Amino acid sequence: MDLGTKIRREIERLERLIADSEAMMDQVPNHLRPYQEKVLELHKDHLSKLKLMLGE
Amino acid sequence: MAVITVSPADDISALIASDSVSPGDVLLLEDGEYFQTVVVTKDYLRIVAKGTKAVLNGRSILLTGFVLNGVTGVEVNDVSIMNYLSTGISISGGGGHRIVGNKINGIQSTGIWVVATRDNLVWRNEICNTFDAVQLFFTSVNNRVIENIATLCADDGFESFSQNDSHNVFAGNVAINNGGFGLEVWGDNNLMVNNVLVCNRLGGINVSNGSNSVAIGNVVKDSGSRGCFLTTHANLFFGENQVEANLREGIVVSGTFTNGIFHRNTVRHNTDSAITLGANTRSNFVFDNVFKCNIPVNIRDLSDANNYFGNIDEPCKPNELPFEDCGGCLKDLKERGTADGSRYQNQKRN
Repeated sequence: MDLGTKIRREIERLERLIADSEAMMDQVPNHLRPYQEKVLELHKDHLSKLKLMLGE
Repeated sequence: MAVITVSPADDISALIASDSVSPGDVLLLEDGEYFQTVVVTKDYLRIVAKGTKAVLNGRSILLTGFVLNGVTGVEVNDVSIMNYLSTGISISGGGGHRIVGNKINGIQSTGIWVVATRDNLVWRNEICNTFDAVQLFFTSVNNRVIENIATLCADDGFESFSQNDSHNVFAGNVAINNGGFGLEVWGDNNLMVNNVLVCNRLGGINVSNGSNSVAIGNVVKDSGSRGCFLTTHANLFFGENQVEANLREGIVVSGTFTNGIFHRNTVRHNTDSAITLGANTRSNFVFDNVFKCNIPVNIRDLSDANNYFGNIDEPCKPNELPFEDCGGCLKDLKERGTADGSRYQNQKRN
Protein backbone atom coordinates (compact mmCIF):
# COMPACT_ATOMS: atom_id res chain seq x y z
CA MET A 1 0.00 0.00 0.00
CA ASP A 2 1.39 3.43 -0.89
CA LEU A 3 1.49 6.33 1.55
CA GLY A 4 -1.34 8.19 -0.20
CA THR A 5 -3.67 5.21 0.20
CA LYS A 6 -2.69 4.84 3.85
CA ILE A 7 -3.34 8.51 4.54
CA ARG A 8 -6.69 8.46 2.73
CA ARG A 9 -7.72 5.45 4.75
CA GLU A 10 -6.78 7.21 8.01
CA ILE A 11 -8.62 10.36 6.94
CA GLU A 12 -11.73 8.36 6.21
CA ARG A 13 -11.53 6.62 9.57
CA LEU A 14 -10.94 9.85 11.49
CA GLU A 15 -13.74 11.70 9.71
CA ARG A 16 -16.17 8.94 10.54
CA LEU A 17 -15.00 8.87 14.15
CA ILE A 18 -15.33 12.64 14.54
CA ALA A 19 -18.79 12.65 12.96
CA ASP A 20 -19.97 9.79 15.19
CA SER A 21 -18.56 11.46 18.29
CA GLU A 22 -20.15 14.80 17.55
CA ALA A 23 -23.47 13.08 16.91
CA MET A 24 -23.43 11.40 20.29
CA MET A 25 -22.05 14.31 22.34
CA ASP A 26 -25.41 14.69 24.09
CA GLN A 27 -24.93 11.24 25.61
CA VAL A 28 -21.73 12.36 27.33
CA PRO A 29 -22.41 13.49 30.91
CA ASN A 30 -21.92 17.21 31.38
CA HIS A 31 -18.95 16.91 33.70
CA LEU A 32 -17.08 14.76 31.12
CA ARG A 33 -17.93 16.88 28.12
CA PRO A 34 -14.92 19.27 28.30
CA TYR A 35 -12.55 16.27 28.13
CA GLN A 36 -14.46 14.74 25.24
CA GLU A 37 -14.30 18.08 23.44
CA LYS A 38 -10.57 18.32 24.13
CA VAL A 39 -10.02 14.89 22.56
CA LEU A 40 -12.23 15.83 19.65
CA GLU A 41 -10.12 18.94 19.05
CA LEU A 42 -6.96 16.81 19.04
CA HIS A 43 -8.53 14.50 16.48
CA LYS A 44 -9.54 17.41 14.28
CA ASP A 45 -5.98 18.71 14.50
CA HIS A 46 -4.63 15.29 13.42
CA LEU A 47 -7.16 15.20 10.61
CA SER A 48 -6.04 18.55 9.26
CA LYS A 49 -2.39 17.41 9.44
CA LEU A 50 -3.27 14.27 7.51
CA LYS A 51 -4.97 16.34 4.84
CA LEU A 52 -1.90 18.54 4.69
CA MET A 53 0.26 15.43 4.21
CA LEU A 54 -1.97 14.41 1.36
CA GLY A 55 -1.75 17.89 -0.16
CA GLU A 56 -5.42 18.67 0.17
CA MET B 1 6.07 14.58 46.44
CA ALA B 2 2.99 12.60 47.41
CA VAL B 3 1.22 9.30 46.89
CA ILE B 4 -2.46 10.06 46.36
CA THR B 5 -5.11 7.36 46.41
CA VAL B 6 -7.84 7.82 43.85
CA SER B 7 -11.26 6.15 43.65
CA PRO B 8 -13.75 5.83 40.78
CA ALA B 9 -15.77 8.68 42.28
CA ASP B 10 -12.91 11.13 41.68
CA ASP B 11 -12.60 13.18 38.52
CA ILE B 12 -8.94 12.37 37.89
CA SER B 13 -8.43 15.05 35.23
CA ALA B 14 -9.74 17.73 37.58
CA LEU B 15 -7.63 16.37 40.40
CA ILE B 16 -4.50 16.51 38.26
CA ALA B 17 -5.28 20.06 37.20
CA SER B 18 -5.76 21.13 40.83
CA ASP B 19 -3.14 22.33 43.30
CA SER B 20 -3.44 18.97 45.12
CA VAL B 21 -1.23 17.29 42.53
CA SER B 22 2.32 18.27 41.61
CA PRO B 23 4.74 16.90 39.03
CA GLY B 24 6.32 13.69 40.32
CA ASP B 25 3.31 12.67 42.41
CA VAL B 26 1.90 9.16 42.33
CA LEU B 27 -1.79 8.57 41.74
CA LEU B 28 -2.82 5.14 43.00
CA LEU B 29 -6.01 3.97 41.36
CA GLU B 30 -8.23 1.87 43.61
CA ASP B 31 -10.02 -1.09 42.05
CA GLY B 32 -13.28 -0.18 40.37
CA GLU B 33 -14.74 1.17 37.16
CA TYR B 34 -13.71 4.65 36.10
CA PHE B 35 -16.12 6.08 33.54
CA GLN B 36 -13.98 8.99 32.43
CA THR B 37 -11.26 10.33 30.20
CA VAL B 38 -8.08 11.13 32.07
CA VAL B 39 -6.40 14.22 30.67
CA VAL B 40 -2.89 14.47 32.08
CA THR B 41 -1.66 18.04 32.22
CA LYS B 42 1.37 17.77 34.50
CA ASP B 43 4.79 16.22 33.92
CA TYR B 44 6.24 13.13 35.59
CA LEU B 45 3.00 11.91 37.18
CA ARG B 46 2.85 8.19 37.94
CA ILE B 47 -0.63 6.77 37.47
CA VAL B 48 -0.62 3.24 38.80
CA ALA B 49 -3.33 0.68 39.48
CA LYS B 50 -3.23 -0.20 43.16
CA GLY B 51 -4.69 -3.66 42.62
CA THR B 52 -5.57 -5.65 39.54
CA LYS B 53 -8.98 -4.24 38.68
CA ALA B 54 -8.72 -0.54 38.09
CA VAL B 55 -10.70 -0.32 34.86
CA LEU B 56 -11.19 2.74 32.71
CA ASN B 57 -14.40 2.09 30.80
CA GLY B 58 -15.53 4.49 28.09
CA ARG B 59 -18.80 2.58 27.67
CA SER B 60 -18.53 3.15 23.92
CA ILE B 61 -19.40 6.81 24.48
CA LEU B 62 -16.09 8.39 25.43
CA LEU B 63 -13.30 8.76 22.91
CA THR B 64 -10.08 8.12 24.82
CA GLY B 65 -8.93 6.61 28.12
CA PHE B 66 -5.75 8.55 28.80
CA VAL B 67 -4.71 11.74 27.03
CA LEU B 68 -1.05 12.71 27.37
CA ASN B 69 -0.82 15.83 25.28
CA GLY B 70 2.29 17.99 25.47
CA VAL B 71 3.51 16.59 28.78
CA THR B 72 6.68 14.74 29.72
CA GLY B 73 7.65 11.60 31.61
CA VAL B 74 4.25 10.30 32.69
CA GLU B 75 3.83 6.66 33.70
CA VAL B 76 0.60 4.73 33.17
CA ASN B 77 0.97 1.35 34.80
CA ASP B 78 -1.22 -1.77 35.13
CA VAL B 79 -4.50 -0.09 34.26
CA SER B 80 -7.23 -1.88 32.28
CA ILE B 81 -8.78 0.21 29.55
CA MET B 82 -11.84 -0.79 27.58
CA ASN B 83 -14.70 0.34 25.34
CA TYR B 84 -13.42 3.68 24.04
CA LEU B 85 -14.38 4.94 20.61
CA SER B 86 -10.96 6.16 19.59
CA THR B 87 -7.89 5.29 21.61
CA GLY B 88 -6.95 3.59 24.83
CA ILE B 89 -3.95 5.81 25.47
CA SER B 90 -3.23 8.82 23.28
CA ILE B 91 0.21 10.39 23.43
CA SER B 92 0.82 13.52 21.39
CA GLY B 93 3.71 15.94 21.62
CA GLY B 94 5.94 15.82 24.69
CA GLY B 95 7.52 12.44 25.34
CA GLY B 96 9.53 10.24 27.67
CA HIS B 97 6.40 8.46 28.90
CA ARG B 98 6.35 4.95 30.34
CA ILE B 99 3.28 2.97 29.32
CA VAL B 100 3.67 -0.31 31.15
CA GLY B 101 1.62 -3.43 31.78
CA ASN B 102 -1.75 -2.09 30.77
CA LYS B 103 -4.54 -4.23 29.35
CA ILE B 104 -6.41 -2.62 26.52
CA ASN B 105 -9.48 -4.25 25.01
CA GLY B 106 -12.36 -3.17 22.79
CA ILE B 107 -11.06 0.11 21.34
CA GLN B 108 -12.55 1.02 17.99
CA SER B 109 -9.43 2.75 16.72
CA THR B 110 -5.95 2.43 18.24
CA GLY B 111 -4.90 0.82 21.52
CA ILE B 112 -1.88 3.05 22.10
CA TRP B 113 -1.56 6.01 19.73
CA VAL B 114 1.86 7.62 19.70
CA VAL B 115 1.65 10.87 17.74
CA ALA B 116 4.42 13.39 17.05
CA THR B 117 6.32 12.41 20.16
CA ARG B 118 9.60 10.83 21.16
CA ASP B 119 11.50 8.73 23.68
CA ASN B 120 8.50 6.80 24.97
CA LEU B 121 8.57 3.29 26.40
CA VAL B 122 5.64 1.00 25.60
CA TRP B 123 6.35 -2.18 27.53
CA ARG B 124 4.41 -5.31 28.39
CA ASN B 125 0.98 -4.09 27.45
CA GLU B 126 -1.67 -6.53 26.30
CA ILE B 127 -3.87 -5.20 23.56
CA CYS B 128 -6.73 -6.92 21.80
CA ASN B 129 -9.84 -6.15 19.79
CA THR B 130 -8.71 -2.77 18.53
CA PHE B 131 -8.04 -1.49 15.00
CA ASP B 132 -4.27 -1.08 15.38
CA ALA B 133 -2.73 -2.15 18.67
CA VAL B 134 0.18 0.33 18.75
CA GLN B 135 0.65 2.98 16.09
CA LEU B 136 3.52 5.48 15.85
CA PHE B 137 2.45 8.47 13.82
CA PHE B 138 3.38 11.97 12.63
CA THR B 139 7.15 11.95 13.16
CA SER B 140 7.36 9.80 16.26
CA VAL B 141 10.99 8.94 16.90
CA ASN B 142 13.17 7.07 19.40
CA ASN B 143 10.29 5.13 20.88
CA ARG B 144 10.73 1.68 22.45
CA VAL B 145 7.91 -0.80 21.87
CA ILE B 146 8.91 -3.86 23.82
CA GLU B 147 7.33 -7.17 24.88
CA ASN B 148 3.75 -6.21 24.16
CA ILE B 149 1.04 -8.56 22.97
CA ALA B 150 -1.34 -7.64 20.16
CA THR B 151 -4.06 -10.01 19.19
CA LEU B 152 -7.38 -10.00 17.36
CA CYS B 153 -6.88 -6.46 16.09
CA ALA B 154 -8.65 -5.54 12.85
CA ASP B 155 -5.53 -4.08 11.28
CA ASP B 156 -1.87 -4.11 12.36
CA GLY B 157 -0.32 -5.25 15.60
CA PHE B 158 2.50 -2.71 15.69
CA GLU B 159 2.99 0.06 13.17
CA SER B 160 5.17 3.03 12.39
CA PHE B 161 3.03 4.87 9.90
CA SER B 162 5.28 6.77 7.52
CA GLN B 163 8.84 7.53 6.54
CA ASN B 164 9.01 10.24 9.21
CA ASP B 165 8.55 7.69 12.01
CA SER B 166 12.16 6.69 12.53
CA HIS B 167 14.75 5.43 15.01
CA ASN B 168 12.17 3.32 16.85
CA VAL B 169 12.63 -0.11 18.42
CA PHE B 170 10.16 -3.01 18.25
CA ALA B 171 11.52 -5.86 20.35
CA GLY B 172 10.09 -9.03 21.82
CA ASN B 173 6.53 -8.24 20.85
CA VAL B 174 3.97 -10.90 20.02
CA ALA B 175 1.33 -10.29 17.34
CA ILE B 176 -1.10 -13.11 16.71
CA ASN B 177 -4.27 -13.29 14.65
CA ASN B 178 -4.46 -9.69 13.53
CA GLY B 179 -6.17 -8.58 10.31
CA GLY B 180 -3.26 -6.59 8.88
CA PHE B 181 0.46 -7.07 9.44
CA GLY B 182 1.89 -8.21 12.72
CA LEU B 183 4.53 -5.53 12.35
CA GLU B 184 4.32 -2.75 9.76
CA VAL B 185 7.37 -0.53 9.86
CA TRP B 186 7.96 2.48 7.66
CA GLY B 187 10.78 4.94 8.20
CA ASP B 188 14.53 5.07 8.70
CA ASN B 189 16.72 3.21 11.12
CA ASN B 190 14.01 1.25 12.90
CA LEU B 191 14.98 -1.90 14.78
CA MET B 192 12.81 -5.03 14.81
CA VAL B 193 14.22 -7.78 16.98
CA ASN B 194 12.89 -11.04 18.42
CA ASN B 195 9.24 -10.38 17.62
CA VAL B 196 6.85 -13.29 17.17
CA LEU B 197 4.36 -12.70 14.39
CA VAL B 198 1.96 -15.53 13.81
CA CYS B 199 -1.27 -15.96 11.88
CA ASN B 200 -1.59 -12.35 10.77
CA ARG B 201 -3.79 -11.99 7.72
CA LEU B 202 -1.74 -9.64 5.50
CA GLY B 203 1.63 -10.86 6.70
CA GLY B 204 4.12 -10.99 9.53
CA ILE B 205 6.46 -8.10 8.71
CA ASN B 206 6.05 -5.22 6.31
CA VAL B 207 9.07 -2.95 6.00
CA SER B 208 8.42 -0.10 3.64
CA ASN B 209 9.49 3.38 2.60
CA GLY B 210 12.72 4.25 4.41
CA SER B 211 16.29 3.16 4.90
CA ASN B 212 18.81 1.52 7.22
CA SER B 213 16.34 -0.53 9.25
CA VAL B 214 17.34 -3.80 10.91
CA ALA B 215 15.26 -6.95 11.45
CA ILE B 216 16.90 -9.73 13.46
CA GLY B 217 15.61 -12.88 15.12
CA ASN B 218 11.95 -12.46 14.32
CA VAL B 219 9.61 -15.43 13.89
CA VAL B 220 7.09 -15.12 11.09
CA LYS B 221 4.68 -18.01 10.71
CA ASP B 222 1.33 -18.96 9.26
CA SER B 223 0.51 -15.59 7.74
CA GLY B 224 -2.59 -15.36 5.57
CA SER B 225 -0.52 -13.95 2.73
CA ARG B 226 3.22 -13.27 2.42
CA GLY B 227 5.42 -13.79 5.44
CA CYS B 228 7.58 -10.70 4.96
CA PHE B 229 6.72 -7.94 2.52
CA LEU B 230 9.75 -5.68 2.12
CA THR B 231 9.45 -2.79 -0.28
CA THR B 232 11.10 0.49 -1.26
CA HIS B 233 13.75 0.44 1.44
CA ALA B 234 17.50 0.96 1.19
CA ASN B 235 20.16 -0.88 3.15
CA LEU B 236 17.88 -3.13 5.20
CA PHE B 237 19.65 -5.74 7.30
CA PHE B 238 17.47 -8.84 7.58
CA GLY B 239 19.18 -11.54 9.62
CA GLU B 240 18.44 -14.76 11.51
CA ASN B 241 14.73 -14.50 11.00
CA GLN B 242 12.63 -17.65 10.93
CA VAL B 243 10.01 -17.51 8.20
CA GLU B 244 7.83 -20.52 7.71
CA ALA B 245 4.51 -21.91 6.58
CA ASN B 246 3.12 -18.68 5.20
CA LEU B 247 0.34 -18.84 2.64
CA ARG B 248 2.35 -17.17 -0.15
CA GLU B 249 6.05 -16.27 -0.40
CA GLY B 250 8.22 -16.34 2.67
CA ILE B 251 9.94 -13.07 1.77
CA VAL B 252 9.00 -10.67 -1.03
CA VAL B 253 11.38 -7.86 -1.87
CA SER B 254 9.82 -5.31 -4.18
CA GLY B 255 9.78 -1.71 -5.33
CA THR B 256 13.07 0.15 -5.56
CA PHE B 257 14.88 -1.92 -3.01
CA THR B 258 18.66 -1.58 -2.89
CA ASN B 259 21.69 -2.73 -0.92
CA GLY B 260 19.79 -4.95 1.48
CA ILE B 261 21.53 -7.80 3.27
CA PHE B 262 19.72 -11.09 3.90
CA HIS B 263 21.85 -13.20 6.18
CA ARG B 264 21.32 -16.48 8.04
CA ASN B 265 17.55 -16.54 7.70
CA THR B 266 15.70 -19.84 7.77
CA VAL B 267 12.86 -19.83 5.28
CA ARG B 268 10.93 -23.00 4.80
CA HIS B 269 7.64 -24.61 3.96
CA ASN B 270 6.08 -21.50 2.45
CA THR B 271 3.45 -22.05 -0.19
CA ASP B 272 5.36 -19.98 -2.72
CA SER B 273 9.05 -19.14 -3.05
CA ALA B 274 11.31 -18.61 -0.04
CA ILE B 275 12.43 -15.26 -1.41
CA THR B 276 11.30 -13.32 -4.45
CA LEU B 277 13.23 -10.24 -5.53
CA GLY B 278 11.32 -7.92 -7.85
CA ALA B 279 12.38 -6.32 -11.11
CA ASN B 280 13.58 -3.07 -9.50
CA THR B 281 15.71 -4.60 -6.78
CA ARG B 282 19.44 -3.95 -7.01
CA SER B 283 22.63 -4.91 -5.21
CA ASN B 284 21.01 -6.91 -2.45
CA PHE B 285 23.24 -9.55 -0.91
CA VAL B 286 21.59 -12.84 -0.02
CA PHE B 287 24.01 -15.08 1.83
CA ASP B 288 24.26 -18.00 4.25
CA ASN B 289 20.50 -18.47 4.38
CA VAL B 290 18.70 -21.78 4.63
CA PHE B 291 15.95 -22.03 2.03
CA LYS B 292 14.20 -25.30 2.39
CA CYS B 293 11.20 -26.80 0.70
CA ASN B 294 9.37 -23.77 -0.55
CA ILE B 295 6.89 -24.31 -3.36
CA PRO B 296 7.61 -24.19 -6.27
CA VAL B 297 11.16 -22.77 -5.93
CA ASN B 298 13.27 -21.35 -3.16
CA ILE B 299 14.76 -18.33 -4.92
CA ARG B 300 13.07 -16.24 -7.60
CA ASP B 301 14.95 -13.17 -8.85
CA LEU B 302 13.24 -11.03 -11.45
CA SER B 303 16.07 -8.51 -11.79
CA ASP B 304 19.25 -10.59 -11.88
CA ALA B 305 20.99 -7.62 -10.25
CA ASN B 306 21.44 -9.12 -6.80
CA ASN B 307 24.22 -11.19 -5.28
CA TYR B 308 24.10 -14.65 -3.74
CA PHE B 309 26.59 -16.64 -1.73
CA GLY B 310 26.57 -19.68 0.50
CA ASN B 311 22.84 -20.26 0.65
CA ILE B 312 21.41 -23.69 1.22
CA ASP B 313 18.84 -24.10 -1.51
CA GLU B 314 17.09 -27.36 -0.77
CA PRO B 315 14.01 -28.58 -2.62
CA CYS B 316 11.26 -30.52 -0.92
CA LYS B 317 11.75 -34.15 -0.27
CA PRO B 318 8.80 -36.31 -1.33
CA ASN B 319 5.89 -35.56 0.97
CA GLU B 320 8.02 -33.20 3.07
CA LEU B 321 5.65 -30.25 3.25
CA PRO B 322 3.88 -30.90 6.52
CA PHE B 323 0.14 -31.06 6.59
CA GLU B 324 -0.95 -29.23 9.70
CA ASP B 325 -4.38 -29.18 11.19
CA CYS B 326 -6.39 -25.98 11.19
CA GLY B 327 -5.96 -25.35 14.89
CA GLY B 328 -2.34 -24.28 14.59
CA CYS B 329 -2.94 -20.63 15.37
CA LEU B 330 -5.19 -21.39 18.30
CA LYS B 331 -2.43 -23.54 19.69
CA ASP B 332 0.02 -20.64 19.41
CA LEU B 333 -2.42 -18.34 21.14
CA LYS B 334 -2.90 -20.67 24.05
CA GLU B 335 0.78 -21.47 24.44
CA ARG B 336 1.59 -17.80 24.74
CA GLY B 337 -1.05 -17.26 27.36
CA THR B 338 -2.99 -14.56 25.58
CA ALA B 339 -6.17 -16.57 25.54
CA ASP B 340 -6.48 -16.51 29.31
CA GLY B 341 -4.26 -13.53 30.04
CA SER B 342 -2.00 -15.62 32.22
CA ARG B 343 1.29 -14.38 30.84
CA TYR B 344 1.89 -11.72 33.44
CA GLN B 345 -0.30 -13.16 36.15
CA ASN B 346 2.59 -13.91 38.47
CA GLN B 347 3.82 -10.33 38.22
CA LYS B 348 0.57 -8.79 39.36
CA ARG B 349 0.11 -7.39 42.81
CA ASN B 350 -2.35 -9.16 45.08
